[in-house]
Amino acid sequence: MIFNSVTFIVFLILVVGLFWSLPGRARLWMLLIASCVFYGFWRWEYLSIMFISALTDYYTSLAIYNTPPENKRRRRNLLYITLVVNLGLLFYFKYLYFFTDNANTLLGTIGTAYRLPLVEILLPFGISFYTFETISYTVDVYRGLLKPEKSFLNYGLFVTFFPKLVAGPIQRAAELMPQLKTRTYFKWEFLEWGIRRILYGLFLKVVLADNISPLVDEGFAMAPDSLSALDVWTLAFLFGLQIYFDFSAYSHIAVGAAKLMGIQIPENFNFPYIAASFKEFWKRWHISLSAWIRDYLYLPLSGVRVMKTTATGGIGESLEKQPSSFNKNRALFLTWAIMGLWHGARWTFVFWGVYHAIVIFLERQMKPVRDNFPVFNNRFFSWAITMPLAMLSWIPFRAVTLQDSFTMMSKVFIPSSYTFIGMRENIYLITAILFLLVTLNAFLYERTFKVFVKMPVIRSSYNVVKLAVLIILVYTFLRPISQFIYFQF
Amino acid sequence: MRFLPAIELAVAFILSLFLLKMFFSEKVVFEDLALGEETTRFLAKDSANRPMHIVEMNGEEQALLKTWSESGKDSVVLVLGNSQTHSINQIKPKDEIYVSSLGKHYESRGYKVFCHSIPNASLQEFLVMFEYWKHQLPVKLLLLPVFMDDLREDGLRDVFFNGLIAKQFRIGDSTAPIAKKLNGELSKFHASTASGETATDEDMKALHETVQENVERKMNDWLDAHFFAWAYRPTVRGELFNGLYNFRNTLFGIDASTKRKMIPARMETNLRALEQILASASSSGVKAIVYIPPIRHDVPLPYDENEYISFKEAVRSRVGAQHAAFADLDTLVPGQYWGMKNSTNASGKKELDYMHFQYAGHKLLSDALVPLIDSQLKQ
Repeated sequence: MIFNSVTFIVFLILVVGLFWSLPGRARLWMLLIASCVFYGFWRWEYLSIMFISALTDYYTSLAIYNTPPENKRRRRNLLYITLVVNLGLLFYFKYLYFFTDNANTLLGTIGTAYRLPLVEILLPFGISFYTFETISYTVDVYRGLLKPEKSFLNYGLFVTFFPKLVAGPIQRAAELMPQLKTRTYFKWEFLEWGIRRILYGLFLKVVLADNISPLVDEGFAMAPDSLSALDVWTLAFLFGLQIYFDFSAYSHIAVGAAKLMGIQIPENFNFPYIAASFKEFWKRWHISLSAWIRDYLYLPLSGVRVMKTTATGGIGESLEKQPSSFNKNRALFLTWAIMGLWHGARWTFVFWGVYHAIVIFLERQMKPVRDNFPVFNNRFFSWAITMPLAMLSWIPFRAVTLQDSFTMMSKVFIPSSYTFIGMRENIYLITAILFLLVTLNAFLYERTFKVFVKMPVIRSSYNVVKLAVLIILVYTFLRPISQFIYFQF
Repeated sequence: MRFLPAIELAVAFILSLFLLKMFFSEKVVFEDLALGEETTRFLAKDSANRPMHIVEMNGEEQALLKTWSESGKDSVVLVLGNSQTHSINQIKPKDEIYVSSLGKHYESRGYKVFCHSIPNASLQEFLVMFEYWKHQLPVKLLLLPVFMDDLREDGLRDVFFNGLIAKQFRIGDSTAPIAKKLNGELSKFHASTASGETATDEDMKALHETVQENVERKMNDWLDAHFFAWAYRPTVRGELFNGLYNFRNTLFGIDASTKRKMIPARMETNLRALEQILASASSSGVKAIVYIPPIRHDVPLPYDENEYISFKEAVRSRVGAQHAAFADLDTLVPGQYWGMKNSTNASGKKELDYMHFQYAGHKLLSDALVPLIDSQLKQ
């Protein structure tokens, strides 16, 4: 089911109504069924894939827990079963075509006539998200950070809980399951807060992201050769804004929908476009993925033992024990290449990941220089350098081929490419206005809040007008015209 | 105070209902807004009052073919154009457009004049239109205006090509990159209409082939049928965008006289389409006359002077390279034969209309075109 639809709103009203009407365990059964219905509204048959993943981890984690710690080999083998099944599913549905296609290219290059059969398979919605959740669950049990859940109802609900099922935030079992097991009592603030978050999310999706989308499509459909450097910068910023509105919209709605039932799921965004470094950017952007990558890839690859499990904080946290420089850098590049591939089975995503790794690597290497020159530690200065670089990274993320990415990105280094424009003036104008508003909003958010606290009448009036405008716009634009971008990952 | 946030939300809901009622009260026809009060759409008809001029292709093209078969299956002079062709400023009784005059003039000489004009038509759209008519009618001569304004456009707009899309029309010579590009766009349009997509389906693209699609459609249909305010949402969306357009113009002081820049990449794509039209005409034995259409010169041009000169030069050289006829008629219609258009910003002041002239302008244009056409038909 897609959030930006009438069906979802009706579904949510029914589910929330039932949730607060039903007693303890019946609530959970209802939520499990509702989550299956939510997923089944896309394709029923793909529910089985999700349950294969969930059941595998349910049983292996119990088996790991019941195996004495000294029997390391059995525990490790059980963990491998989980990894093989989950990563196998992910490989089959997401990467098989990519792998065979590249293998065939390689076979052609070495002059072999043999070709592997190419099979195009429909990617099940949310597979990248729920497999990461199930893997993290078993790994946490293996690490001794979590006791496995005996009730399949509770565990099944952790995997399928509909608000975060298709595009995150990627939840940790240790954070969600206790909430599911505890009986929550109705509070008006759940309803009020949840509705606000859903409204914000729908506004970002149906009013902003969906209306930017045709402009981005138009720009990226142009021949890369015909674009100017200003066009490339504009498209980078515009797509950066589109994906931010789109993805943060999903997270707002997910957080809001869960909140309606008194359940807290982690925040995924925290004004990423005011980050003053790439490291900070990844503490503000897709925080739950960064945290996952940190705990299950980056730290283990760096040789650091993970001591806690949380979907918050983003990448770069928990580095109290510093690994060796070589380990850190190796882990950095490997992690980011995998992070890129996680987003999609295309070399453009790998390039995107490696681009981030290179910039973070350079940030680290430049630290001694930055420490000696105060200007480099000026927040505005650092932001002004970080933002264009971060936005430019969206070019390979959105471009169809590596060739297109290189052609477009090379334009920004050619002075003569700055002498003309290739798109309608409105696109530059819209991009500039939106970026300015997003930045100002982030800058003013906390400051206005502090001022408003002292002036309750003004604050309430402002809130009423703001919410009324949001309601009108969401009502006018609500239609499932496009999926959320992260559904394809 | 505990319930204040909930009260805020409730008040916001009530306020939004009140505002929605205000917004959803008046129907606006956007086509009328685009042409303005002084300008009237006019489609040419032949002496027997049969259609010889179309804008949309939602079956109207069949009427043109019928006219042709009923009127003796003469050779055809095909006129392509934009809203200048199908509009008269300050229309009076018995006024007509230049296409009507040409039609009468050539009817007696054994030629049928047919016209297809669409607002803001780019040369890419002209290419598709020409390729279609070339295969439907015995086109002897093509009359093609090239507007600088329309070279800022790119691609095809499906609303004007529904008839072609339904027939799976494609440009025959698909080797040229421009033909490939346009055929790709036609295929894309066809793919969405072949599945029987309606405007509602277009709004539900994300649900295509999902279980949710049927449920969403039923709910939407029910809401459409029972709540005017729901069915009226597309109009409100249009009003909002129109409001933004006016707001932008007000903020930046933009009106019809504001100088607009050429977009080099789009201009080049359109000029390639022009080359393709002329090459296709030549290979089919169709004579072509390309002309720079009239624009008002009693006031400064809404373009950079140098860009305008190089635009004309670029068209002239491309036409020359294809050995087609070229005419520069941009100063043909004097200032008094033009008019004004509705305001495009919050000032409410009428603005200069650079595109649509009065009947006298149409008369001058047809008088100027006749000798050009004659010379080509004689060859």
